[in-house]
Formats: sequence, structure tokens, C-alpha cells
Amino acid sequence: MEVIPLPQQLTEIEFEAVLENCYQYQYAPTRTLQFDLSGTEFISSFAMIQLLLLTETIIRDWCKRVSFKVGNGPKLSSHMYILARLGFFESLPGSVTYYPFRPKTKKSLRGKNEAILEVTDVKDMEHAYEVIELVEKAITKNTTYSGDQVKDICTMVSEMLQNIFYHSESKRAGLVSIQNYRRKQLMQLVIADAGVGIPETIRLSPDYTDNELTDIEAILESVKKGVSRQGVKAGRGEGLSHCVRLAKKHHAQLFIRSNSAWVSVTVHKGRGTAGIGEFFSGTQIFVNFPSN
Amino acid sequence: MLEIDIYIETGKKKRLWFNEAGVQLRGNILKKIADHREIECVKLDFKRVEVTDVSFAREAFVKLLSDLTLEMNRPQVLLINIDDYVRQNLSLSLKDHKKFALITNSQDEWDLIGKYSQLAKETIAALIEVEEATARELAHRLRIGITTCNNRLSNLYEMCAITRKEVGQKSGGVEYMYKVCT
Repeated sequence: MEVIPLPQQLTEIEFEAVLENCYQYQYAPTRTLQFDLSGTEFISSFAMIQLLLLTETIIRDWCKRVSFKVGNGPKLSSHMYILARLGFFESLPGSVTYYPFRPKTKKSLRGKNEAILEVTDVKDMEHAYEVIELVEKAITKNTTYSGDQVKDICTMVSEMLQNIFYHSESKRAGLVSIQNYRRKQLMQLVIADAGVGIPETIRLSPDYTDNELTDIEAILESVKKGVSRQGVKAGRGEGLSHCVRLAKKHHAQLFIRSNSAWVSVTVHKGRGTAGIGEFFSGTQIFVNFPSN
Repeated sequence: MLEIDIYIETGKKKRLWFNEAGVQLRGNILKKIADHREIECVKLDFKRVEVTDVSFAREAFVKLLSDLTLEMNRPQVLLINIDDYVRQNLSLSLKDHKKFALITNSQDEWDLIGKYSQLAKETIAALIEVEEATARELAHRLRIGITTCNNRLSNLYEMCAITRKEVGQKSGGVEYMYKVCT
């Protein structure tokens, strides 16, 4: 068994190191990987969903077992119970094992956290309608965003979910979660899939057959108006570009990680950063909206 | 005149999401138009519709205008009772595809949304004032050349913003009488 220690704080930044650490064991003879969560005190909603997708990838594609070390003795830290309340352990595959035991929470405590929407699977298009309704109700109930702001957020969810269903060819359902961070004064919306990823989709476009786009270039192209797998002539490809427009309108930060690249943009400030990391199939997006 | 209630047509949905649903709605609208070949104007009533994402708007309404452009006898399309939020997204979608549409609000005030020129707006305003006119009559009123006026009216007809019918000329040629349903 190989142990992957998780840091005290796990966000999209630290997750890149975790990913790198995991990949060294992809073809190693070891049969079990153990994530050591015992010293972790904070996991962002985005990192939580990435960890979930990574666990599934290790079990499904690498054919290895996964175990989570959640504490060092019979008494677990409160952070593990917070994760339990967020639905994290419940969303992990059934074959995952826990040391010393799986943190459970009383049903009455579920939902008593800062999550606006706990990790939610989106099974198919029909289910997507229900999820958007859930998102709308949850944000309306738990935040002070105006009616139009809520509609804009739902529009972003709708556009991003369509990308999952039409382009990702994902082996599993999409995932959505929304979390409020009172101290940081922001709300994080996460939408993720473990599909083929934006770069693979964009490279199929007739507009890019002669270009050898890198993953970063492909993500940057994907947020341009009219760029889609079918090519500009198809008159589609407005979903992500509209999300960028809405992110700008709400002074939000948009972070897109797909395959081996990530791009982060804070459009209203004209700031953007990009980087490359380990190949992690699929598209994971978060949008950080400042609180009102 | 054909009036289509979008809320009813989409199975009583106030929130219009996803391009597939938009494609379906466009198909239904086109079928209704095909069943009423002689109609001059189609009113799409957005009462009770609260949101539409850009993918739905593109498939249902922007592409509807494109599809109707291929029809020989294309009716005017008028969007009515549009809420401000829906109007915003629809306008963006139309702009992205370099199209525009005629709308009226609950006070029967008309406007254009999408990507349009002031000349297009001015021409529609003049046509609404006179109720109906040939290119020659409107050119006289706007103090512009007949060819210019003809071009403007053709563009508006292409965009389904106005309607027209053939009227015989004394000389034997064909002339069109243009009008706007509001």
C-alpha cells in the first residue's frame, strides 16, 4: 500500500501536487493507494470533487483499491465530520475502505453545514432540469443574491451541464456542488465531469484540424464565441463564452481544468493565469462569486 | 395571425433550458406555421417565461428566423410579453448571430432587439406610421431613393421583421405592399 498524504489545506492549487504524487503509482505494482486525510483541515468544494473523481479514476481505470485514512485513533477530528455532512464519503465508490472507520453523521445533522448544495450527481438531461431547480432554490434560500443573479447562475449551470451531456462522453454522471465561504466572502459553484475533456473535443472541430493546439490553447479557444466541436459554421459554441460573459458581469473568477491544463480568469480585472499539470481526464470548472 | 404561447408549447415551463428543448420548440413552431400557410404574422407570446439560456434561445428563436428565411412566403415574427431578463439573453443570442427581432411590450410599445441598424429602426417606425406602403411610397416619405428603400425593406423582410404581399402594378409588373404587425 502506498500512502498519499493530503495537505492541511486542499484547494485547486495543492491538488496539482496530490495528482502528481498519485500518478507515480499508476503503473506501479502496488495494489492499494491510501489518501491520508488525517491532517487535513480544509478542503475546497472544487478539490473535494476532484478527489472524488480521482478516486473513481484510480479504481476504474488503474484497477487499484483506494483507502482513506481519516484519523489516527478512535476519535476523529471535526473536519472529517464536516466532510461527512457535505456528502463526501457518501459520494465515494462503495469499494473504498476507511481507517479507522468511515465517518458517519446523524441524518439530522446532514445539511447543517455551509454547503448550499451538497455534492449532487447529474444522471441525465431529464435529471438536469431537477438539478437546476435545486440550485435555484438552494441559492435563493441561502444567499442574498438578487433574482437576476440567481437566474444568471442557473444559466451558467445549464450551459455547463449541456457541455457535459453533449461533448464529454463521460463514463459517469456530472457532478455539481455549491459552497458558501463566509470568511472568504464568496460562493463557489463547481461543475465537473470525467469525460474526454475540452481539448479532445475542440481538436475534433474542422476549424482546428491543421492546428496542433496545446491543452491550454484548446481551453482558451473553447471560451471564444462560436467555437465548438462542429466548427464555427454550425453556429453553436456559445455556452462557455456566455459563462465568461456572466462571470465578468458578476465579478467572478472562472477556473477551468481539463485534461492536463488549467486556466483561471478573473475577467473584470483582466487577469488570467494558466498552467499545466498531470493528465486528469475530464473537465472540472469552478466559479467563485463574491458574496453580496 | 397565428399566436403561439411559448409557456404552453414547452409543456408549461417557465425556465427554458437546453438546446435540445429549443430544437423541439422550433420544430413545433415551424409545423404550426406550415399548417397556416397564408398567415402574415406569427406572435410568439413569452408571458410566464422567466428565463431562457443562450443555447435554448439560439435553437428555438435565432434559428427559427434563419429557417423562415428559406421560406418563399415568410411571415413576420413578433415577440410579445417579453420579460426584461429573457429579453437580455435573447438579445445577446440574436447579436451573436447578427440577427434582430421585433418585440412589443405589454403597453404595445415596439422595439428591436439583437444586432440592428438605426436605419432599420427608422424604416420600421415609418412603416408603422403609415400602416402599409410600397417601397416607392415609403421612399418618398423617408426622402430616400427607391433602390435604397427597397434594400432596407428586403433586409427587414429577410429578418422576418415585416410582412409583404404582392400587388399588381398598372404597368403589369409586380410590386410589394409592406406592413408591420404590432
